[in-house]
Amino acid sequence: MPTDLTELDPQQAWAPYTPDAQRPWNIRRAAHLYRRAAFGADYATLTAAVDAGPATVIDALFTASEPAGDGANQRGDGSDAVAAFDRQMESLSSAMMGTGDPRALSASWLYRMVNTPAPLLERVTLCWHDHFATSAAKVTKSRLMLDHLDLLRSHALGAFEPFVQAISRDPAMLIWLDSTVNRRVSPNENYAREVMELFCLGVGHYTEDDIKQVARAFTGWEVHRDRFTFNKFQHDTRDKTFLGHTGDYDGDDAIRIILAQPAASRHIARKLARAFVCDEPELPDTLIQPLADQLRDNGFVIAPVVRRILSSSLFFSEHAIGRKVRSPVTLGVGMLRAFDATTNMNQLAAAVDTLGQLPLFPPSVKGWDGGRTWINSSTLLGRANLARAFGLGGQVKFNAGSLAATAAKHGVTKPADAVNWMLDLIVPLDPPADVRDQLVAIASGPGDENQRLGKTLQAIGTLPEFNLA
Amino acid sequence: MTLARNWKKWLMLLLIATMLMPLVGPTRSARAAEKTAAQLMPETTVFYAEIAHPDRVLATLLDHPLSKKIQASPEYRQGLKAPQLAPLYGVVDAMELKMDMKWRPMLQKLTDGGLYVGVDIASKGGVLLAKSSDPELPGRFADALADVARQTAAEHGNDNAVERRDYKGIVAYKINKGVHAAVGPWLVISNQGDLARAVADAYLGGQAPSLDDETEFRAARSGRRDGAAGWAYLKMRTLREMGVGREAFANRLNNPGVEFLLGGVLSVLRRADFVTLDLLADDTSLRAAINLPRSEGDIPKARAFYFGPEGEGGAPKPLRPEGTLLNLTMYRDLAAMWNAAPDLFDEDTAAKLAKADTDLSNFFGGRPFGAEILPAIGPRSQLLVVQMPADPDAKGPAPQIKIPAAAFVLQSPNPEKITPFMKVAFQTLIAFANIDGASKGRPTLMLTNEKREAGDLVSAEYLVMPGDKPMANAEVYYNFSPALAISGDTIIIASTKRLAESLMTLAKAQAGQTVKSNTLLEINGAATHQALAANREQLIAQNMIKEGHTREQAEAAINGLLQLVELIKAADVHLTRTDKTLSLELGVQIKPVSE
Repeated sequence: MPTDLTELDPQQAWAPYTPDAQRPWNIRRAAHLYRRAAFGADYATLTAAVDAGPATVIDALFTASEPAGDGANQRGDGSDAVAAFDRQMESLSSAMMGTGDPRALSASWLYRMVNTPAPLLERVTLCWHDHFATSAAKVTKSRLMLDHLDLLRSHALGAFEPFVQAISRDPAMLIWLDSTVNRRVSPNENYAREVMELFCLGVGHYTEDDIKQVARAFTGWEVHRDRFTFNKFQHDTRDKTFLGHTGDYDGDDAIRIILAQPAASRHIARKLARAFVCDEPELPDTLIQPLADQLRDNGFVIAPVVRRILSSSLFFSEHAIGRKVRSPVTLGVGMLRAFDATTNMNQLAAAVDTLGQLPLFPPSVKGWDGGRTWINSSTLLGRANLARAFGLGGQVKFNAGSLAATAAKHGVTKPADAVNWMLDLIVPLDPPADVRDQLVAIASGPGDENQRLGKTLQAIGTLPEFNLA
Repeated sequence: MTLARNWKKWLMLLLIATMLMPLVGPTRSARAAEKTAAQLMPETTVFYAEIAHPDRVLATLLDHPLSKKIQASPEYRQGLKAPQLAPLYGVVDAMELKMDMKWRPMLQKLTDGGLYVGVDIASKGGVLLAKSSDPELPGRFADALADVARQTAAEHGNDNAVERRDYKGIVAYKINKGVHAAVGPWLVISNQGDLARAVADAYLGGQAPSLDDETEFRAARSGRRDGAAGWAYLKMRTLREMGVGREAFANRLNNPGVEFLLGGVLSVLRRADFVTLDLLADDTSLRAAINLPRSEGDIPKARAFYFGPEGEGGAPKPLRPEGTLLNLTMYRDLAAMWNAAPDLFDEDTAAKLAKADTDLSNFFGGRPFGAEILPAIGPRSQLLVVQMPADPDAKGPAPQIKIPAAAFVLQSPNPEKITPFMKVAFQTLIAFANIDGASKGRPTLMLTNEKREAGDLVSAEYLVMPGDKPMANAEVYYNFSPALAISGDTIIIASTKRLAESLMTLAKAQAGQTVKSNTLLEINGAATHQALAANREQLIAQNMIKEGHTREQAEAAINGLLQLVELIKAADVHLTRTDKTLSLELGVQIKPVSE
């Protein structure tokens, strides 16, 4: 595969990945898939994935995350495990809501990410949370934030138009973007601007006048007593002209017209490609267009495009592996999933908050900037401390009993094997040979097995490669 | 000289010896064996504790059904697996092997003559004495412990960790700073060699004054309750002289909350020469009594608010509506404390209270708070927390987190005077709550005034509009329907209208009754269990979040907790003052196994 993205043949890039001698299907590539699509996976899952092959693994990820059938409320393969977990999460979220503190919901969502049998769904939901960024800091009500999160999850892999329509009626979003004061005589342009700039089209594909007109279409879309209400007395029923269309449009019409713009499918396709392939360089339009076409040709349904990305030759190439900076949430959740461990989710929420990403509290409507902005001198130390917490801290509980027992469970006994095992689980790119030697030296050092492995993990946490996905 | 020929002479010698025996005392070994632990500890011992029958305590700790349940809990089992405990298990295993005894019978036999702890001020050390009925056992134990320590240290590359020393015929082992030795039937373990030597000297007949030589200690010891499982003694005077707890013993606490709760106790503590603790335990209860000797004038005038001007302020007899979970009744003349603020607190704190007096006066319709409102409230008050029985007629939203109801009950010496101002203050509070609630999207509280047979009731309930859907898992504030009730001389401020109604009836029935204790706290196990069980889902969720447990693990943990709480029948605390003592008694009652 050419090293310059602009030289890639789009058909070849998005063609299904076929393992070969240069790009074998191995633990490292399986870990890459799970890191991107499912936060991470433990060694047993990775070895099983290597045996099963990439197509089977991707099928399984989607089967667990998509609705069981037409009109089915139940997700996954209909197995008791997925359904039971969903019921448990409903109960957990409901209990957390009782506290009235939206931060408790952040912790319960992290719990879900760590434990879900449908991790792809949570991963995509997190993507959409970044896309339709709505913050509990302004919404304040736990119930509304929980409903918002459920909405994101229920549409995460479905069709995009009903998704945007639902978001446009979501009380949390309406409060967040001031639509509650979008009145006929003084339309509030916040939501209209963001629906075009951030949610559907991107900058440069609309005018300021379009914003004014679309804002009129959304007048009267209000929230009363925490519920969406259409106030016909506040809705502007006069004709609106935007994006080349004129008529007495309401919000749904506006969304339909906006999504009919060619820029819409490209905007969403680019968003998905950036989420799953690489932060930088930006994928050229030639690579984005096939995904945009697929969206357009299939009613804007998201799942097939995500599947195509995750199955692609490009995704398993050096253009994607290790080409993203792990966000705090994917780092924290990924570590727990990789080492088959758990922890106090309130503390995990506090830790990822310190690192700049508390779920349900995005910094602005643009979401988190992501990429290199995750890293600065302060967060770099915090990220290393996260690894230290796994290795030497007391807050992480390994299901096998300890880090050493987890390693032993997978037949890891020698220092060199331990280093390989940890790197396989949490680091996408091989560190230089001398660094690896140093890690082996640490793994061979004094202390008991837990101390040695803990120090090794702590050392891995200081590597630049540790921060990549 | 043969016995036959000189029998008269031998008989005479024996007679003389027998006569002289009481004068010279018993032989060294006989005398030493009879010495008590207090006679072995130096007079500079500042803290002394004894457990007469450690085997019984051990049995209670390990064999009681409550303990068995704890031991069966996943958390306990997980805790036992902590890596930090691994070295301890290693030592226990090695000791069992060396002694050829399991640890429990070994410990029982080693301590069947009692277990004693002392802290010595002179050597700055602590000592543990265990007395065994088997004179050989302490020696074997000391040798084995030294062997195990030596082996463990050798495994870590330290071959000289254990030092053997002979002291006046006694073999002692020194490990780091610690010393252990068998001294006759006693096993002596100390962190200071000097202290261990002092104990050995006392055992060997040394003449240095012992703790037991102190008249004060002996008098305190003689007051030990019959059947007490444990007893402890602390020389307060010495601690004060050393400057321990200087802030607590200061004349001014500068913390009105602590002053209100503990001021009187600290006054007595400030003058008391010692404190004793009696520990009583059986299969169904555990009681601890802390006793302070009183001295004349130990309660300064400014703290008359605590026990009353004559020192006989008794708490009101508790009202106990159905489902009472916690009950705290006390005598505290808040008005007297408030008005004595310049004598009780520093200038800064007194100034803050003076400012609060002005602010609170505004709240009570401009009447002076300290001079008029507080005196009308009176010194007897009660705080209740009640897990109310389910309301069959409940129509409003059901909160997800179910908070028990709570109430303050005050006995007013002048209810006619205070009632209008309490009503004004209550209405003002509700108005503030509504303004704050509106800005936060909470529903409105609606005030209602009612005349009941038992008195006046003012209450506020969240407005539920016709057509509103019944709401399950509602917000936490739906637990509250604040109420103010006045029944005779009783003023009730309750978090729910139902509790206020219930208390109004009870208050009328037992108006004016008091108890002997100054402060009385009661906790009911069954009601606590009900309150926790009502929030089982919430507790499970919190456990999942905080422990990272799966639902199944969390359910097991919370079910275990509920089972444990179910075994606790009640707990209580009494603070009682007499002319000679101030005693604080704490008790826990556990359900008998059959219940």
